[in-house]
Amino acid sequence: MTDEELMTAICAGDNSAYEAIVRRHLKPVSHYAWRMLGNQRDVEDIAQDTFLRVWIKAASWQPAKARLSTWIHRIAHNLCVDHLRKRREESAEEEAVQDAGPLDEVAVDSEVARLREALGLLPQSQRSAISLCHYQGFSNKEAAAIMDVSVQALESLLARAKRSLRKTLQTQEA
Amino acid sequence: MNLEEFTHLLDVRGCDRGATWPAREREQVEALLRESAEARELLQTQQRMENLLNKIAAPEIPGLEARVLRQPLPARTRALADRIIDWLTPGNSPLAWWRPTFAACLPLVFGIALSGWFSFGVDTQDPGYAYWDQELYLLSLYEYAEVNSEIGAETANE
Repeated sequence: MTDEELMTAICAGDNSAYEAIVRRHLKPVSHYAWRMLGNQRDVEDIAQDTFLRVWIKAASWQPAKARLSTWIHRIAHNLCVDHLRKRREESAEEEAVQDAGPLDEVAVDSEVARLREALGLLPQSQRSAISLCHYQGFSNKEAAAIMDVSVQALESLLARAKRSLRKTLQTQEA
Repeated sequence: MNLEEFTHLLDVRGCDRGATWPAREREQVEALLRESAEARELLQTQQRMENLLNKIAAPEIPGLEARVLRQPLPARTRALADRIIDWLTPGNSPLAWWRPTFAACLPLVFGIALSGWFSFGVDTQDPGYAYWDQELYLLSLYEYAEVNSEIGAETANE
């Protein structure tokens, strides 16, 4: 079944269609949330909230305007931004402890670890741009729609993010 | 194309020049790469960075799918009007066309039933009811005669 057929079924209250949508889209959503938030507990919260909203707001998805994956990522993106805003309000010390977790899990060699750290230090909007375009495979136009910015603004975020990452690598080499 | 423009293109479109780069820009880039060692070095740095980025894999969270599927979903309460519209719309099933047809016939059936049950103030038990047709006919004749007499009077006055 296509995404459109499944969403129509969800609008009619079909639980099996909801399960199919979750199976199809959970992985990219959880990966995106992980790249934005960097810890497992938050990723679980975001994933659950995202799909709960998909269930509740299914009727508001317009297939002519955006692919379903774009629409779902937009929901996840907004939840991540809200989550990061709340987290910023908490103590900076706590934040530093949380961010240190995934680094240890993923770091394979020092160069990758450094880059991972640099990614984590990027401003939220630049990290979103890199995650959506490089990792999630969205076009610049789709990523701009998810982040609710213009394509030019997105490209500017991408350029600044890559410049920062390049600088990190060059500093390491020096 | 200069190095600055090339760097910007690499940043916003990535190193995979085959997929997302417009053909015209691709040609200019190929020309620049043939001429400039600095451009080639820049491309190598960018490719290396993208390769390193690819090594940062997001972890799979065990049991996440089950947890998402297990969470309670609110009951879907749809407006009565929406449900009626859904029921009336045949969609892709030709067999469901009886529904809008049935809905279209309802006012007719309702009108016939209503006229059978309700007299609208006309007492059908009244013996005079049988003469209603004649009564209406006489009334129309009366109005006709009245109008004719008015026209006759006007003509006589002239």
